[in-house]
Amino acid sequence: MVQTQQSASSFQAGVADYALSYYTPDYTPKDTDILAAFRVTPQPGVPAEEAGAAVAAESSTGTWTTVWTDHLTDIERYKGRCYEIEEVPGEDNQYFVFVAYPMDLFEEGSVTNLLTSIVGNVFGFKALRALRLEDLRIPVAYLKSFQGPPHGITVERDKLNKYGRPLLGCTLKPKLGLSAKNYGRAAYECLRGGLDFTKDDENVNSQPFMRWRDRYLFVAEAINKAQAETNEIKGHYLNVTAPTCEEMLKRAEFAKELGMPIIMHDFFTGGFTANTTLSKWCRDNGMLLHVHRAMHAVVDRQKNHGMHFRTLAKCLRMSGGDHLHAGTVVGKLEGDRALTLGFVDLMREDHIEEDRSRGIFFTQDWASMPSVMPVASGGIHVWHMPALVDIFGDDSCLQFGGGTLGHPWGNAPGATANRVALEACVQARNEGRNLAREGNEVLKEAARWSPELKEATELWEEIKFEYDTVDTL
Amino acid sequence: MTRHDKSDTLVNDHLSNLVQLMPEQPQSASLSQQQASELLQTLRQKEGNWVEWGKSCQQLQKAGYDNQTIFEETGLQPVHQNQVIVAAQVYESIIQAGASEEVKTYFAQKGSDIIYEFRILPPNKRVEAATLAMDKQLAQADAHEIAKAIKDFSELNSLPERFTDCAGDAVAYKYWKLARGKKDLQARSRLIAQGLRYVASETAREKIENLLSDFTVVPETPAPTLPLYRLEQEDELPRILPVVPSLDISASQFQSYSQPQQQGTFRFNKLSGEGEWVALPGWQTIWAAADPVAIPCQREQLPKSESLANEPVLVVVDRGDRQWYLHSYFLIEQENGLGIQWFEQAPNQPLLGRVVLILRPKRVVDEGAIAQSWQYEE
Repeated sequence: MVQTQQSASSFQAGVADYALSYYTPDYTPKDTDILAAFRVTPQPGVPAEEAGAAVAAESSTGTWTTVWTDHLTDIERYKGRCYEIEEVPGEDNQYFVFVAYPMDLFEEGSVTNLLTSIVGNVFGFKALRALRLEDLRIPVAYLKSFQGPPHGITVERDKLNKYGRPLLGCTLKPKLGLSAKNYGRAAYECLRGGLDFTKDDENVNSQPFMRWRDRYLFVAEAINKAQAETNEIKGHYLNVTAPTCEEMLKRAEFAKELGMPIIMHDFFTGGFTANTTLSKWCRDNGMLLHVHRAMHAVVDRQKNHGMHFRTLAKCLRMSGGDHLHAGTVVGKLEGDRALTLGFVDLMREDHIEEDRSRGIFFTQDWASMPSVMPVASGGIHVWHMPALVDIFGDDSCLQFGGGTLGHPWGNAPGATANRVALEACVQARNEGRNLAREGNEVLKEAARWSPELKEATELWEEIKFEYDTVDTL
Repeated sequence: MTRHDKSDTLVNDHLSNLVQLMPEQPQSASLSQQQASELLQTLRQKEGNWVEWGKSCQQLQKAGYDNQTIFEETGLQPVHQNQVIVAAQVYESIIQAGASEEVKTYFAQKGSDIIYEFRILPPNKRVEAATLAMDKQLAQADAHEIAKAIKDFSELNSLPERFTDCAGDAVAYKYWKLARGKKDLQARSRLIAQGLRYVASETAREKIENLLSDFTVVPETPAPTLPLYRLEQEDELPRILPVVPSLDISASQFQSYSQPQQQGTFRFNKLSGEGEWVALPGWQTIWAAADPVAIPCQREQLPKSESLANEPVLVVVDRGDRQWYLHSYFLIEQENGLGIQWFEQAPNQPLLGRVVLILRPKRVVDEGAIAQSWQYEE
């Protein structure tokens, strides 16, 4: 219901400072407020309070001038409030600005609406040199209007009948140019060799060299054959990303008809509306959903502008996805360990406490929403396995692309080498061995009875894995 | 359609290289039919404790029974099979690492879900964690949290001040750290209570208790932030140049305009003499000029301006750079004053300075845009 208020004061036209209305340092956020932490870099001379208030205003009820129609509603009820400002430690000219938004500002179950409001328009301020959304706190009351991942980690494991270890995957390469038949062949070799999943690359949709229907058919054949030979459930992330939602769902339907267990979506290029639509379809149809984050670096790479990936990861968990790429900490896409594990926790755990040393600005309770499996992918090979198992734990998906297909003996032995390495590491950890210190030794022992692993360990260079301190408080 | 992929030959070569995949691990052991039946019956009737179930499941799986078959035979779900197998391994390692009889007995009958969470820890820490779980009567979710806390603690380069290496302090450290970052008093109190629940040493307890008397987080109306700004780029500080009024002057007059004296971090300018001055952005080319002056003139007074609309421009000339260069324009003295010219070869006449920049006025596309402080999509 719209709340209105009759104001006794007369309308005063003109441009008023935002800080007068939207900077409220005495405000205590409510449990039902949506909270946002922004990193703000104002233009020289623009006070932090005015910058923070302007962010709160423009991402909620405010506009650049006073308007007559402000008096037709209760602005006090609906406005966002900048309730706290901090200087960013170690940075000049930057401030953390905390904004509280009343829940009524947002449509239930719509990540699209949430983002359009909070980051849709506000980044165009001339008075700000840069602006970055660092974190969001989603209140349980609003969270409950989202269904989240179609299945979550627990149900995925039950569907796959695989427990107690990370899942293994491989992106088929070259990214583009293979025919559907050869593509299916490569998938078969990897799955037969011991992987759980193979994967379409993010830009494999339906190009002239390999139309989606052909790809699905040959990959389905590969999966059925590999399943029959290994007696394990196998899957291939069939990318259903398409020009329209209708076409996307058509491809998803066909994957279901073929009996495939999992499909894939590029959530950022496809958009949150499409992703939420697909996630709901997956839940209704018992299909797992792998989510790729292509294009994320466009908005999350700059340290002072855009959005941090943890906010995208949170939004994805709300929109829905069973897997999400999260970087590796080691390997080609090496990231900051503490920060990466911070948003990995946001994807997997049910309750996460505020912890600035890991980039978590707000305590977040997910209210039993299903969890998202983080996918570590990019530039990793068998020598990284101990570190990956140690860092990511069991509930993760490790994707070895070049680390599988680059094996000197071919795809299947490459897959076998990875599977043997993985199981050796998990077993060693369960028996009480320290993978951080003894990981290389564990691999060498396993390589004595696995010629495929031995060959892989000789091809790629042994790495020394040393932890950095995670205590940055 | 043309096929750009290679023939199947290469792939076939790979396939022919397929070895017998997933080789048997050395420790795999076969079971006789009777042994397997006995194990399955034990599991079906839930005989013994969970540690024995774990060992039985592991034996069966290594002998080739998959988890689905075991489930159908015994009713033990695959996820539960994995839990008891791994937990049994962890339990064994705890015994070997010297766990007390009390701990052994406590977990022998129940708690595979708790012991399972400790798989990420080394054996000595598993013992400590199990002891802590027993002492505090922890449930699985708590065990999950303390295992993570102990693991994170073990990865610190050095022990935090006043915390010891034992499991209780490791968990307490986590809550101390989280509490220290909380501004909300209620949330902070909750975390302090959690820390005190687990803390083992007196020194760590004191440190956590100190948080109770730390009132730095009491909310108060904050004073406004100082409008500080750290200079980031060289061009944020301008350079002030003397303005030569026009080109209609002599060479000697042109030389009479002196540079301001600049000093200090913020480059204060000491101006002397009459005349006008202009501040230009501190671009590299402006700062690099040894003795620059600015000359306002019309576009039509410049070379190569025949086909362009006339407009006012500001020519910056470096009087300190008088060396001929093929790719530059120079200021010279002409019959009626000064002029700007390009020379294909070194000229005989003296050069008064090199043109380093010609500024054109800002083009105004949207007249309204320069009046607004903010500009958004609406």
